[in-house]
Amino acid sequence: MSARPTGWNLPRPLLRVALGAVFVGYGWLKFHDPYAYLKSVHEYGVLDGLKLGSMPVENLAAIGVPALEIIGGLLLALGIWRRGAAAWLALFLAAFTAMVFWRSLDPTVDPEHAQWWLRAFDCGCGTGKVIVWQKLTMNAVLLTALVLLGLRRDPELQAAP
Amino acid sequence: MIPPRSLPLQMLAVAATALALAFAANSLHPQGLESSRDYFAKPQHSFQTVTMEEFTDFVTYLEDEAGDIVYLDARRSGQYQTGHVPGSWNVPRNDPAALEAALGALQVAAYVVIYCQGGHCEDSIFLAEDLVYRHGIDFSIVHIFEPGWEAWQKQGGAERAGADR
Repeated sequence: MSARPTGWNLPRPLLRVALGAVFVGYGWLKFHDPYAYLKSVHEYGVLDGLKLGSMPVENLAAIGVPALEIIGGLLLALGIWRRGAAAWLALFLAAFTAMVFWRSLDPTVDPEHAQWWLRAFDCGCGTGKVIVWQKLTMNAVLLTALVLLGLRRDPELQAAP
Repeated sequence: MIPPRSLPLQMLAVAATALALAFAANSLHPQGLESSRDYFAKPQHSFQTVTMEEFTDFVTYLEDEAGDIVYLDARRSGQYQTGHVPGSWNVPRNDPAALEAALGALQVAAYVVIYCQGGHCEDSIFLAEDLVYRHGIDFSIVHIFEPGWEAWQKQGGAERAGADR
């Protein structure tokens, strides 16, 4: 029998469900309009022209990333392959965060703001136009949560047979 | 606990599951992507184009007299909501309902001017082809504003936010 969660550890499963739900939501927003998401991926230009066999890598990303977020979020919430799911979500989140930061340095994305952190543009995250500093802060919080709640070995589960 | 327990194997299992379900869901999705199609290959077109100067004149005319010119914004609805040419209709790709809504105005228009984001965007060309070859709009009235929204915004063109139509 595993040790029961105690103290501040008590809400960890609940927090994990909430974290998983956030990623399911992000994935769903992208999944419901695949072409819009493909265009967002294309606008970053980092996968432009790359192919895997006959398939443009942008198509693979537009098809695969939303599913990975939905499945990853569900697995994280359910505690199944939790660390593997969290690792993928963290990898993609870190990559997209770097891309959002890189794109925010381009003044043409929002000519009204000179400071990169105040610029607003559609990051392709499924939530429409975002202000850079808010998006980066949100992603930092999510990344930290993924590491603490998803990637870190769970002491209670380690005690399980 | 469901095996595997090691992190690399778990990642492999998650990736395999997600990819299998991704392609299954994509094939069932009404707007699913064709996996091997290059959506961003710049299509050649023979539609008439309008310059920035002409576009500016047209917009002024549209604002003043709301006449026979129909503007179509082929960008995503989120981009349209953020800002668009005043009076333009939003007809994103893969949105037949939006196209249906604009058809009445298109059928009595003397000029149709279509724009998308600019740069490498090609949605205005796809929309123009749709209008002419699927909906019988006269080829000679369809025009494409190739510089697109970004160029229009950079030169301080008129814009409006929210749902115009």
